[in-house]
Amino acid sequence: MNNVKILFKEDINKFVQICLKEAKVIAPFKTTYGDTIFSPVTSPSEVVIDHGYENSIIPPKEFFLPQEETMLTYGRYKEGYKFKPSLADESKRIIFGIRPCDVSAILFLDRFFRSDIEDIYYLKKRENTALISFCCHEPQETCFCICTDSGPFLTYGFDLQFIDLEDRYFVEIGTPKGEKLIKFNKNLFKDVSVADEKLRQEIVESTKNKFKSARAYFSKTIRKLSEGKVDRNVWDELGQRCFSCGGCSYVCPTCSCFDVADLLRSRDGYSRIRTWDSCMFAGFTKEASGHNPRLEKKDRVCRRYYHKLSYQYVEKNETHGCVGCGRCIVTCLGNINMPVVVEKIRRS
Amino acid sequence: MKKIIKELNIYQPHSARIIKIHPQIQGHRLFLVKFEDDKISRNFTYKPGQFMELTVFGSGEAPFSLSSSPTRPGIIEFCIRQTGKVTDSLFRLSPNSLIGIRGPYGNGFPIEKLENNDLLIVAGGLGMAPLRSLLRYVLDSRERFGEVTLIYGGRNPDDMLFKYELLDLLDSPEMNCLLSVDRDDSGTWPACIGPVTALFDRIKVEARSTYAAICGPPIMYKYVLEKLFERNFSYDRILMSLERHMKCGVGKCGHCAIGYKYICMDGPIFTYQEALDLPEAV
Ligand SMILES: Cc1cc2nc3c(=O)[nH]c(=O)nc-3n(C[C@H](O)[C@H](O)[C@H](O)COP(=O)(O)OP(=O)(O)OC[C@H]3O[C@@H](n4cnc5c(N)ncnc54)[C@H](O)[C@@H]3O)c2cc1C
Ligand code: SF4
Ligand code: SF4
Ligand code: FES
Repeated sequence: MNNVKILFKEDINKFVQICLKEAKVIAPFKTTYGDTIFSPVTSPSEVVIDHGYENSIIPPKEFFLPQEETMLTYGRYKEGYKFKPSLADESKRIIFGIRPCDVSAILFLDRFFRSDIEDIYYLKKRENTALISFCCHEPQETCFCICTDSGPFLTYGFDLQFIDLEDRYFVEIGTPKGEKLIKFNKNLFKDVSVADEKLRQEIVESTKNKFKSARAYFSKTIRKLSEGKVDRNVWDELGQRCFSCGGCSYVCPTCSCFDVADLLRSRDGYSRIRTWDSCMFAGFTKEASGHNPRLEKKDRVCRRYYHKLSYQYVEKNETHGCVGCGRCIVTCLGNINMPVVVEKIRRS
Repeated sequence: MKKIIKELNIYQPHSARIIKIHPQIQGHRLFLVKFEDDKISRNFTYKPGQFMELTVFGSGEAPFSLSSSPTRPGIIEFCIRQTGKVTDSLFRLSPNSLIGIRGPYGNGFPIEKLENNDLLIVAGGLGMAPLRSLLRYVLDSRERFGEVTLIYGGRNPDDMLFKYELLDLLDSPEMNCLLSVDRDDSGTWPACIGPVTALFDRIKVEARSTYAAICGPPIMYKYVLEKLFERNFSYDRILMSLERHMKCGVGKCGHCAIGYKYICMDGPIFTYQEALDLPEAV
């Protein structure tokens, strides 16, 4: 069992203050439009964790794989050209109030960027960032992390995990990094009583029944996709509904494909940048010869779901590529989203 | 979060200098390149079939097959066709210009497996670029391989990459070099004239002890495979180089994915059997 503590809600701002002293804090923040986004904050009053805030529009992957990131710069010098790596800001960061589904997605990306050849741009930022996860007791209508085994309560992956017990938080310590944050202010954190443990258990149990609308039954779909037994009509139909806008990939916390370009950014030279890309764009696979192996939209929709769900990828990534955050449900204009596609394939 | 194992930036190119540029056929040139840093240059080695990412300053980065062979270290060669942004700027450079270079990437040909076997190399168009590396490698370590046959065809003599070098091999006792063009208006072509498929009828290969290495435009694969099946080649003795749009070269950007493999990491060389098992391949 993880090391556990109690933090009273009246002390939460003090804890945020401690975090602010320790590191740069990134937390859920309400924009003037009423949207929830993750943003660097400077005071506890900016943090919205208390009223069952909805999932951020853009997932926190943006703090590890930014939508646009400079990889290196180069310019002309006396001796010719010189590349200068542009490594990330290495200051310590805390993502405060991250949701369990998003933590699971970051674990997924960790494995990917670490596998075979290490991607230092991602890993450096990751290494310097602590994740303080807040469990969800009031899932949104679009949430289905319960079907993907990536929430609403985690057993590992977080540095600290907070579970709301009405007037207090049940705090679980997942790593030494998390432990350190608590140690700084021992008197804020109280010992856990038997009653606390019991209430925690009750909340964990009762939350499971609160998932309603969005559901995805994966196993049959995974089998069909992996064995190439999906009816062609399914892809035809989905392809007709897709606008190739790429929104589904951008908002998906486990999608990580990127494009690379060299741009003239300043008087002394060029920047090599990487930007989010999407396998739903026609140009994603266009080859120098003009040949395009995924010319049609249906082929690209098929590709996206094959990557997310096929057994071949599950084996490679240790899990399927969906954490049930529901963002694709909110984003896609064509109503192509994980639960819908899983269901269509399952029934086909 | 575990510690980062190597503090190494895989995306960081090294400086390299263009030593020479040999004109090839229309729109194609052979670039001879050397690392600026002598130490890197000395320690650099690779396998035929691997590729590198080249940076042309101000334009960007693109993948190109190594056309030279590691048996001749020091200078590395790329046979490049002008097709767009990066290659346009590359063609504007002159000898002594600096470029960026990183790699080698990809699996390359399984040389250890090929040793002591006969080899049938079939090239079409720019497919000669990686296969020239294999050919040189094999000829430079001749005793480690059995019979070697090259089949390479083009529309006319002005279409043939590495033309003079290959014509020199026509009478070589080391190998069987079969070159053919569809048409020859100049009347000076010393090798065969006719469809490249006809060359298959002139070769004797023992399918059980031969590896076939193929690289060319997609349409070429179709007829070459037919010819190989006629001769009972088993699927795991046919090696093909697959091409996909690539960005990073190191398995991260996702562009080159095909089925559950990444061409830049698991390929570009696949056996026909492996390619068949990929849902999106041929
Ligand atoms: C493993 C591998 C080995 C290659 N070896 C050689 C070689 O030896 N010689 C050679 O001449 N060419 C080779 N190519 C093709 C070469 O990479 C492309 O011609 C080059 O990327 C085009 O870049 P560009 O900026 O000049 O063209 P662009 O202006 O970028 O584009 C022209 C066209 O090429 C497509 N394209 C762009 N970038 C890539 C890319 N990275 N990969 C594939 N298509 C792309 C575009 O969609 C567009 O249709 C190889 C490609 C791969 C993947
Ligand atoms: S599936 Fe939906 S969100 Fe994704 S590219 Fe198509 S229209 Fe856009
Ligand atoms: S596929 Fe949809 S629900 Fe699943 S993780 Fe991606 S955005 Fe979230
Ligand atoms: S080229 Fe980026 S993943 Fe293969």
